[in-house]
Amino acid sequence: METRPPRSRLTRRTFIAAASTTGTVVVAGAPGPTASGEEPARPPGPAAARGDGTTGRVTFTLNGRRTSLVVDNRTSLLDLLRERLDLTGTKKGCDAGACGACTVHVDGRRVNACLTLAVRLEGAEVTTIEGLARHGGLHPLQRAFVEQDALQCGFCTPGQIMSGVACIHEGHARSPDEIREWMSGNICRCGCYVNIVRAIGQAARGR
Amino acid sequence: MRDRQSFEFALTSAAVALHVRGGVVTDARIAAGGVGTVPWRLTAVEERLRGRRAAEPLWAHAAEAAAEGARPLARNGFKVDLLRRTVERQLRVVGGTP
Amino acid sequence: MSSQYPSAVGAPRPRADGRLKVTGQARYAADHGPDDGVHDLTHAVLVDATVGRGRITAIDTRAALAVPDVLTVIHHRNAPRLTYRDNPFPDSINPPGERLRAFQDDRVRFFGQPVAVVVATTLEAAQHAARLVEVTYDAEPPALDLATAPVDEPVEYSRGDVRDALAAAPVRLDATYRMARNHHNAMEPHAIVARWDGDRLTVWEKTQWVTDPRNELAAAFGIPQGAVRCYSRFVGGAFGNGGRTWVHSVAAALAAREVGRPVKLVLTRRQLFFGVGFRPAYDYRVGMGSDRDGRVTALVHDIVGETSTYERHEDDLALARMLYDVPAVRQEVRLARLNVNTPTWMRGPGWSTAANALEMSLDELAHELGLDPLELRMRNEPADDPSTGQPFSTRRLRECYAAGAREIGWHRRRPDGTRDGDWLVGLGMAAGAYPTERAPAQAHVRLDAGGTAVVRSATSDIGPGTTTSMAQVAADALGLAPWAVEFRLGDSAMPPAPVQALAWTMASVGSAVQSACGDLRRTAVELATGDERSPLYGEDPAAVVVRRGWMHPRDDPRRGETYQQLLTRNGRTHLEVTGGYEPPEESAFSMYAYSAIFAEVGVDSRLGMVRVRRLVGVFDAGRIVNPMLAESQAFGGMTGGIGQALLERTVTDTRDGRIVNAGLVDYLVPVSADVPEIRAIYLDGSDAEANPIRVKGLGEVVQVGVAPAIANAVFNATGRRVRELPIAPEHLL
Repeated sequence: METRPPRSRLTRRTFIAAASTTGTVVVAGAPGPTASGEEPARPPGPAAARGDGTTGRVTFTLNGRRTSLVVDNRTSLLDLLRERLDLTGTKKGCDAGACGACTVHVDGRRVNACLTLAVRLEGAEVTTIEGLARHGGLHPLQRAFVEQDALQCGFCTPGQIMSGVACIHEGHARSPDEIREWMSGNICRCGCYVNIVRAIGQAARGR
Repeated sequence: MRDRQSFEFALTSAAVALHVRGGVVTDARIAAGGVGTVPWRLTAVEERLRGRRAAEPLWAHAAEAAAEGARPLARNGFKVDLLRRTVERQLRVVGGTP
Repeated sequence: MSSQYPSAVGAPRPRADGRLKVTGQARYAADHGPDDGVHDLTHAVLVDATVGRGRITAIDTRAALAVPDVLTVIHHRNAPRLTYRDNPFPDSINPPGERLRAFQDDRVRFFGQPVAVVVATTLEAAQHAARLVEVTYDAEPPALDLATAPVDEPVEYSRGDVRDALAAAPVRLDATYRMARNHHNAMEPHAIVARWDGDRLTVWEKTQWVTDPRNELAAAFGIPQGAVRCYSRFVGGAFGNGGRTWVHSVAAALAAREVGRPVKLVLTRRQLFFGVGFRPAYDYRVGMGSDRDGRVTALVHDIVGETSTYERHEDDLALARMLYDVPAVRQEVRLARLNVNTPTWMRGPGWSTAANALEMSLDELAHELGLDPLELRMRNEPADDPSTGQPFSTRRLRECYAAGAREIGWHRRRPDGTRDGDWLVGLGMAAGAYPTERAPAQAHVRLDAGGTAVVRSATSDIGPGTTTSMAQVAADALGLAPWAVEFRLGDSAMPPAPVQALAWTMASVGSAVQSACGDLRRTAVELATGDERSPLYGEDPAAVVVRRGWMHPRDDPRRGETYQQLLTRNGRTHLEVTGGYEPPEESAFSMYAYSAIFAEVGVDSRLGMVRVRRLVGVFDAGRIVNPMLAESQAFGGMTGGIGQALLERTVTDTRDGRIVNAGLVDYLVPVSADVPEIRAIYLDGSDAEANPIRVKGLGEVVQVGVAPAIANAVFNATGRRVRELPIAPEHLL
């Protein structure tokens, strides 16, 4: 039996069309990334130099710094952080919005960075685990995670903490059951849930 | 109704809206999830509800019709029964138990 | 011991690396880049077979190569022949057989097998191009079913006359339990960054054992083991799947060599279901004979488990031989040769599988006899190990039962469960055990003139907190405060350590750390007692103790000096010692850690939903080095048990071997809402026979017995005996 698996129907063109219909502003042909403010210059993404409509310039605030760069339209916020900006604290656990390891804040709300196209971030304010606490200190929830041993391998931890901070701000941390429900999008395979719930409760009470 | 307690698509789900006047169901809209590629309106259940007294044993009787015409596949046959039970439970939640 | 400075061992110290982990600074395999000397990094993406068995007849890479930024596509037609020296145990944990090789032939052995790798300068380009590689197959029907696949000759165990014992038994039971395949699904996907410098290879690899990638990559490429360096400081969970080095690591290193640049390869979540290991599925038949008082007289275990067509992964299923005092036991284990990747260890390997079957069947027997399941177990508690006749080093299962029964409120249990609104409520329990294993290990300690120490060993920390607990052991052995000791791991150039698995790291590496640090302390003391300028000059070294870096005669805490003073005066920048642990060949004792698990579940009477309401685990695991970390491990193992009992299974498309739920959306692992308050209790104690640290190991036993306790609680609640794990609503309608 000869089996020929079908080719992916998702061509570059249909992908960009799909991206555009979700409200993406595609700016073509901008040469290389520019960095402003304190953001150090990054090596250009190889796609950046191409003027064929497959790249876009996006300017947003990342951990308090204005950042402007040209990205491949296919790039997720997660891959942008990890592969272009060396912000590897945000983790890729599933790349499908099913585990929460890549949770960051966009305009104050928790989102899965793996499901967020970078070109959609024009004007947005993005906070990652690296920007949660300023001046080298720890956010109260970061401290609570250490004190309650709410982590083991630590891989899901940045996502848990970003999600937990938002959970508290949303007012969804008023009881252990409420925390369990509103934190169920963040999987911890080491099974630290009992201590995560305690840590979030501790930080919520300390507000 | 799902395997996991949260953060999962439903095995079966039911949305129930009832108009009850004077203890009688005057109108009903019932839809089910997890049993088709789109949300499925259960008109047969709605028909059994209209004009009846909003009390036991109506809920079980109406829910019996939830899977009318369903053709399950080899490994999801349990959903036929589960759908009836889910609809019955949700009718009782919305309509009230005596 | 000085009352002023309690020992570090036994104290609930928070993780030494906690700050790095909560701030996102801890760097896992895929996080390595320019800061680690990895420049011009390229990205590799695997192309996976889309048939379950057969041959590749054609590969068309033109479309993939036409994608901008793509550097190459490597497959069996263009890959260089690799050396692939034999690399058997103990250099690796490769099971017996012919291991899967990276792009060396046209054979497809399982659905999802890597058949090509695309390398590009951007991840996006590599991902896109991987979808454009067209592979044509000559497909054959794969073997996928445990019940019908060819099986190997059985591995047999027997004691007593089972046939006679069964025939004579007034009560008999025969039941087959089916256990689904479980996938580790650590949150960190398998990942590797590979860089060549001439003939030398450096990798940052997700592994539970930095020695294994070193040896396996050296074997694959035909280079000396010393030419490979493997780093793995932080590991995002592994649960057994990071023990051996899988084919994708060779593919990444090969890709890096071909393009002449460093390569990063991260498996997708979907690929983790095909390309790495899993806990094999089992059909596990139990035959049991008992007298009317509940003394089990005969046990038969006929077991069929999964392995691949090319390697023989064998779980250790010996639990039924030693847990109860049964005179006649026969066990036959057969492995079915399936078109899957080779399975591997997963938390509580083998012992958890065996406990599922044994402990569910014992619950059935208790019900048959009208006996309390706890009482039934007490009646079969052995005095000595029935499989060897040896005395137990320590076995405190009765105490575990008593503590667990008290904590869960076992007296509330009714034979037919109780009711709470729509919920049927039940209580269940199960026991478990896991062998106390030990392996040779070495550690190096360096005490600096500043009075702080660094201890190093090539072990891992996949989550238990090894970095923290080893520093505690070292602190006590050196006579330093725990904050003055740093433990480093995860580098293949460090003194060798065994794979972090089998719950033997503290027993093995801990013993080596204690030995090395003790040697260093004695070296320093002897330097002082032989030094005319020291206040300790002329003292008997054996009578000198060290507390918080202060050396003094045991009976005179005020006369002495610090390590710092001694080293500075002698012009020494540091003292260093490499020490080791070599376990005895044989022991006169039978050594195990034990668990007693108690569960309370609610089952929706109409909808079949099962919810764990309470979970209590009591463990006899010897000395507990860090109660805080130990409790976390117990929470983790018990949470894993909830998954095994109620959620985790793969579903295979029988036409081609495709796993249809290969992702975290459809392969369900417990989320926060599934996990109630858990209580974990470790019996206070220590095991002097086990090893110098007196621990029995806890990382594995914490998951053994959890799933059957939950299953038995479901039976108590509903009266329905589901002989299949996981138990799903469809079983209970």
